[in-house]
Formats: sequence, C-alpha cells, structure tokens
Amino acid sequence: MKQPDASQFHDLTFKSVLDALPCYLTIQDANLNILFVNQTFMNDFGNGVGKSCYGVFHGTEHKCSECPVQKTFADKQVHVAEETILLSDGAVNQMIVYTAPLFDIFGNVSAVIKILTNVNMIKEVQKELVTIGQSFALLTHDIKNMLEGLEGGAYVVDEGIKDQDWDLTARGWQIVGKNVAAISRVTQNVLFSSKERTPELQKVKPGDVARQALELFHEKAGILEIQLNTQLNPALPYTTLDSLSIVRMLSNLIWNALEACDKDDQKPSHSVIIRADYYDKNHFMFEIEDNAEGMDDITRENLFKEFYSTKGDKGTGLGLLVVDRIVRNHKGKIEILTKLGTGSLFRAIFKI
Amino acid sequence: MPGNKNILICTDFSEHANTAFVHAVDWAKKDNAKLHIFNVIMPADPLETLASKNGSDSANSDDSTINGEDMVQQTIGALKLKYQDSLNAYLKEFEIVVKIGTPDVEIINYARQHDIDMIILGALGIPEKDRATRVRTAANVSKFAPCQVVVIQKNVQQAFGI
Repeated sequence: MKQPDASQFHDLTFKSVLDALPCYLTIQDANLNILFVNQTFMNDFGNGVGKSCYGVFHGTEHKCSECPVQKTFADKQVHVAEETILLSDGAVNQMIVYTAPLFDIFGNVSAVIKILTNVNMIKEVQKELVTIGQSFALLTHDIKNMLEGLEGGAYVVDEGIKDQDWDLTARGWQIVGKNVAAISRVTQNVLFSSKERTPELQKVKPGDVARQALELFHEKAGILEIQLNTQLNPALPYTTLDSLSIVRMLSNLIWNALEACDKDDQKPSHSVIIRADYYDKNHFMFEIEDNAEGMDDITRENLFKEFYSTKGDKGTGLGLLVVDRIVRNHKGKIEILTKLGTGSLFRAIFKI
Repeated sequence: MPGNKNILICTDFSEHANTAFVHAVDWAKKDNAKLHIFNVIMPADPLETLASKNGSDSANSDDSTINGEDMVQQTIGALKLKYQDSLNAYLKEFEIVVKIGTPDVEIINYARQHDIDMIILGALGIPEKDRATRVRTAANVSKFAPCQVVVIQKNVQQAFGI
C-alpha cells in the first residue's frame, strides 16, 4: 500500500473551509505522523506537519495506549475519545476527539482524520453542576438535621412549660438557640458565597475587628466550657479592610475551632486563642489556634476544596470556602499548622 | 531519644541558635545521624506567588530587596563559611538548607517531607526589636512538628559546661 505524503494535500480546494473550522484538524499516517493541519491547529500548536501526533498533543515520545487513530486504521471505523491535550503555551485542555478513515481507491485506509474539539468550558460547567448538586444535597441534609434539632428543642420547651419545669424549659430553649445559630450561620455563608459583593473598605484596627468577631462567641464558648483567649497587639496600626468580611472570616474560623474542641473527647479542657499581631513590618496576621484533635494530612490537603467537611452531620465545609474567598479578595494568604491529637492553627496574613 | 537518623537544627544566627547548634552537632555525632542545617529567610512580600517566592521572579519586590534565589545562595554561602570546615571533620553527613517563607511553616513542612526524627532550635532567637517576624516559631514548632522537638536556651550551654 502506497503511503500518502504531505504534498498531495497542499492544493486541496476545500482547505479554506477546513482552516475556518473552529476545531483542530489533522490528517495522520499509520505511524501517527501528521501530514496536514488546519489553520486553527496552526494558531495554537504551530506547524505540526512532519511531527508525531503524541509529541504534538501530549508532549511525549511514546504512542498512547488507547489511540483512536490506530483503532481507526485497524477497524476502518469512526472512533470517539476524550483526551487531555497540552497546548504549545503549556495550558492543559480537555478535548473530544473524533477519528475517521480516509480510503484510497482500493478501499484501504490511507490516512486518518483526527478532529479535536475543546470541551474545557463544558467540563467546567459540568464540574460546577456537580458541585451545585452535591452542595444542595449537603445543605438540605444539614438543614434537615438542624430543623430536627430545633423540633427536639421545641418539644423539650413544650414539655417544660406543660410540667411547669423551668429547668427543663431552659434546657430546651438552649437547644433551640443552638440550632437557630447553626441555621443562621449556614444561611449567612450560603448568601456570602453565592454572590459577588463589592468590598466596603474602611480604615480599621485589626484588634477591633477581632473583638467584634469574638463578641459573637462568648456565649457559645461558655456553654461548651471552652476557654476563649485573646492576644491582640494594640500597637497594630489602622489598616484598610472590609471589616464585615473579616469579621465573617474570623467568626467562621472561631466557630470551626470551637466545634473541633467540642468534638474532641481526648483532653480534659480546651481553649481557643485569637491573636492579631505583626507578621513583619509591612504585614499583620490573625491567628486562631485551638487544642482540639488536629487534622491528618488528607484533611489538611482538602481543607479548602468545595464543601469538604470533617464535621459529618454538623458541617457543610462552606465556612472555609468563605474564609478562602475573603482572604483572596483581600489579596491575603492563609497558612495552616496542625497535628493530629494536638490541635490546629490558622494564620491569615494581610498587608498593613 | 536514641536512634535518630535525621536531625534538623534551625538557626537564625542568634546566640540561642548557636548554642542549639553545638547540641545538635553533639547529638548527630552520638547517633551517627545526618544533620540538616536549616535557615528560613522571611520573604520580601509574603503575599507573593510561589514563583516569586522561589526567586524566579523578583519584579514585584522592593527595589531594596534582591532576588529570592540570590538570597538563598548567599545564606547557604554564609552557613557554609560558618560551619562547613568544622562539620566536615566532625560529622558523617550533613546538609545545608535555606528556604524562603514563614519559619514555623517551612520547618514543619521540611520535617514532614524529610523524615526528620528530631528538631533542635533556640528558644527565643534574636531580640524582639531585631526580629523580622512576630510569629512564635519555637512555640509553634514545638506544638505542631511531627517529631521530637528540643528547644535550647543560651544559658543551658553554661549549665552543661559546654
């Protein structure tokens, strides 16, 4: 069988049509060498004629194990595959690949057309849809748990009132309050993460912002019998921040620390320390440190992934997502120190 | 703590760190361990990207600061000058490592990645007014490191007659 060469494709009258196609088109021989490319290909990969398909698309010297071009050469059929393609600028894209045979006059496959369509955007949308689906399921599950807690609390209150047992009533009311706070927190975080809000920047003292966040937790810490300590450097200067966002960031971190302490039954007492201090002469830091159970490597690495939670029924993972977004909006940075069995420290660094 | 194979000594060139260094060499010799001599340089801008952090891009740095990789090489040079000759005669194996970042994070990450059995560091480092950061390095490394941590104070040297 005579192998086709590049020259026979040079004068194709339909070349301008192929060039205009919004997909990458190549024609390859049985050795996977590229014989022809369209203009769209040239724009993103340069002139690939004479090079190997695997070298151009995958940056490797070896043929792919599941090569649709080879399959088409073998069975003369159209094949569809999904491939991760390396563009010449280093970007990695997901592409849908179609391969189709080109026959010579004897009915043999003389070459194969490979057409690649970039589906990165579709993949992103797919990922977002999956995330939305997962988050909706998680949120519904969590809200159901909280509502059940609320109903349980309301029942205890009813029984207390019925029996005129005010201690029981107070205990029931505490359960109601705890679950209302949890629903409120989830709702606020959902609202915060679901829309872009313009930061309202103002000059504030970091210590004052930390105090605002702390005020929200004295009662919860008291109920859980967790010590809430502060080390706020009064010498920190006024800094431009969106204080509402920073209070939310700190309150999410403090909430997580208190919940982690509450969950840890290995230590006789727990404490959470909130610090605001200089990081260096041009930056300051907030630190939230607890002596709860700490995190293993997998948890630490997944912390800021969407809806990752270690709290089981008690958390959505949305809190840290909001923390991450707020820190990024302020062009800050988060550092985490943690050790299983010892505790965790979250450090947020910002420019002064 | 017998059987240490990898000992990490963190130095900020302070008196405490120098004292800690003497202990670390002693320990490494006794255990026939590899000594990792570790120094962390605070970044000119801690909020820069990793590429800048590693010194490959200093475009956003202050004019007064030098390229990150240059700083690393200069510090390694200084550490070699200070320690290499004496260590060559004294230890089987040692390595000088310099990182840019927050000291406690870098020390702990390095310890995790290199199977460090023991970290030795000075108690307070250089005086507060001269310190580049208010991060509580010794306290945080002691609490969060994945291995034994020994914090040495300057006066321990005298106490042990070293």
